[in-house]
Amino acid sequence: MKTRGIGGRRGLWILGGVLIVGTMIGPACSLSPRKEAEGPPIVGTTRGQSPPLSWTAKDIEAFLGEARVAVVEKDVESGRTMPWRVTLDDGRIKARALFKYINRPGVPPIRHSFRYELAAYSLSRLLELEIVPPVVEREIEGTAGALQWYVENCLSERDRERTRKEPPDLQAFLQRLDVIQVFEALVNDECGDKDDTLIHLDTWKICRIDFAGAFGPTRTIAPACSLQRCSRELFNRLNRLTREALADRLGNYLSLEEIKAIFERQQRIVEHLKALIKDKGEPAVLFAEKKP
Amino acid sequence: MPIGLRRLRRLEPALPLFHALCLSFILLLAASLFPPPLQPTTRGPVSLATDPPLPAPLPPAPHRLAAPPSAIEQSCVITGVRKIVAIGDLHGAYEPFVEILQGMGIIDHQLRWIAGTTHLVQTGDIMDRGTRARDILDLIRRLEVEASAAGGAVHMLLGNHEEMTILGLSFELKGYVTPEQFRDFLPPDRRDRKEREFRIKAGPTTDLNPLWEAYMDENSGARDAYTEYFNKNYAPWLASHPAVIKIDNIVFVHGGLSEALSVQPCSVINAGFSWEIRRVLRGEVFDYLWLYRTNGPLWYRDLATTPENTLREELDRILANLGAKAIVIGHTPTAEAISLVGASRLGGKIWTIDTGIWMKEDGRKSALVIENGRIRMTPGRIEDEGGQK
Repeated sequence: MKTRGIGGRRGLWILGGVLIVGTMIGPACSLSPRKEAEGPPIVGTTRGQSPPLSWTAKDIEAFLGEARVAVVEKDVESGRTMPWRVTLDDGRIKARALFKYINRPGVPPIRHSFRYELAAYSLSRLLELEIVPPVVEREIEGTAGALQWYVENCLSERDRERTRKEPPDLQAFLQRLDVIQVFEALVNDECGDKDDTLIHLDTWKICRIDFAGAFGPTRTIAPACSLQRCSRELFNRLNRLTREALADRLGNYLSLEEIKAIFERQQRIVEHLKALIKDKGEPAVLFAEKKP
Repeated sequence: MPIGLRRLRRLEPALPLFHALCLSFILLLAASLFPPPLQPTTRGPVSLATDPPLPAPLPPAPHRLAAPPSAIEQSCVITGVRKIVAIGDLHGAYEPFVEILQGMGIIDHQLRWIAGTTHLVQTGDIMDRGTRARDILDLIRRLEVEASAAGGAVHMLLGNHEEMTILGLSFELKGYVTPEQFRDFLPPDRRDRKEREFRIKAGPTTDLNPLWEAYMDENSGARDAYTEYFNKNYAPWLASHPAVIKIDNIVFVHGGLSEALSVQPCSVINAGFSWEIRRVLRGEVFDYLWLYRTNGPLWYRDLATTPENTLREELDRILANLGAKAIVIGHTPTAEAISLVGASRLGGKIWTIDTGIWMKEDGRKSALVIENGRIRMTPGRIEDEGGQK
């Protein structure tokens, strides 16, 4: 009797402890800001080559996967995952790529994985967005990782603001940033990350890099993601996106929980945009994206 | 026994649950009354102009739940200092560090403090890459006491490599933890046992480093033991050290301070780091507000890497927020910094003092000296001040 009594009391203490911890951690997890981006972006680099204009994303993927590794520089990039800078050479083109190998998925609060880079690229392709530069899975010097096309001749959004460079087509530029922000919310990375938003200096095409810390298990949209507008194309694709399609395309890189979390965030984003449309009218929320 | 009391006693087993519910309610109430400030959305939906100074993205939440900051955390603003000597990233380079200290007249040949009221600042990153980080930490720990007794001070700042060691992350990055450093921070009984084992295996004259390296790479238990030993014996001391200090009108920080962070008092930043390190040491898992953040003071690089013309106005706002005339940073060993000539940026408003002291070939043994309002970068030995490497 006594033993049972103590056991019951201990159980209550444990339950109480869980409640306290849950109370303390819960709000912090859902509200605290998160910055998972890497170090400074690669800005204004000129040593590599841009892909030939005729190259598609698939061509670049093939190059990344098959070209000979000519040079590996291990201590030249900065950032918390210290990626390697790799020079690839297929006999015709010599170009640089970035190799990330850190792999601690799902380990809070220091979750980082090269697999999240691969997942972000796959998701970007699934949604037919040209946001993430091509990245492939590859082994270099016996280390598995993600090898991503090195974006040359570009400027970060932060530096664009610092230098007050005005885009040639403001509307197209802002629309692209809106699309990127929806994608950031979907993959649960930092919204409006100016360091990892890169703008090509010649074409003003915008890409978003560094998702090594994305795909957190949070099922809500981060408060910092103040989604106000979205392209009609992306809105429709999000509407049609199924959990099966996500699992099919991302299953190699993400856990089931992480995929479920994307799906829930997707639903919340769609609900949020629908509410905005109801409130402000469709023209104020959805746009036909202009290509810069 | 009265009936009322009997009823109360019957409820006694549920008391812990009742207490927990009450506490949960109080915490929830506190959280809703004082929500942590959210990271601001730094891009408005249509704004293309440079953003105005931002509210701090890293909230001073620790103050609400933590114990009051220690004396060290509070004393991050120091005034009335005649001479400051600042040394950048060391990464285990013990001999060059000693050479610089002796060359600058900080210590004598017995490694005793002889600099009187001088303040020595080391801007973090003692761990990793090199071989003798433990000797450096032990020396600094002793010099702190000796300097204080002489009316001077040693200010060792936190670097991102100290942070990574505490968090157990350094092992993941190839080449960060050398076999020598690994051996030095293993628990003594484990270290001695393995040393004997390796010596028997390899013979009396063979270099044991390859065996230590293999042991480190292949044995996760040994890596955990290393981190536990470091966190038991060094991390609590590190947790009492600041990330940012201001001496007179000069700010010192390992990586740098973004404009958003520059509005935070150094006491808040330091308390935040200290509080989070202590929580990590208690084994708590939580979302970091200060540790391991790219744009935090231990990782920020923009002050060292952004072109001067691009940075000029932003830096002026940062310095105005800090109430400082210059900021001294380590972390980023640019070619300009290593040449010493380019250590000063924007007319002496930024000093980048990671001159690669730890590098075997390309680095420079150097120190920043601030005396009578004059700032200069010097090689580590006074007699070398002609610019010899």
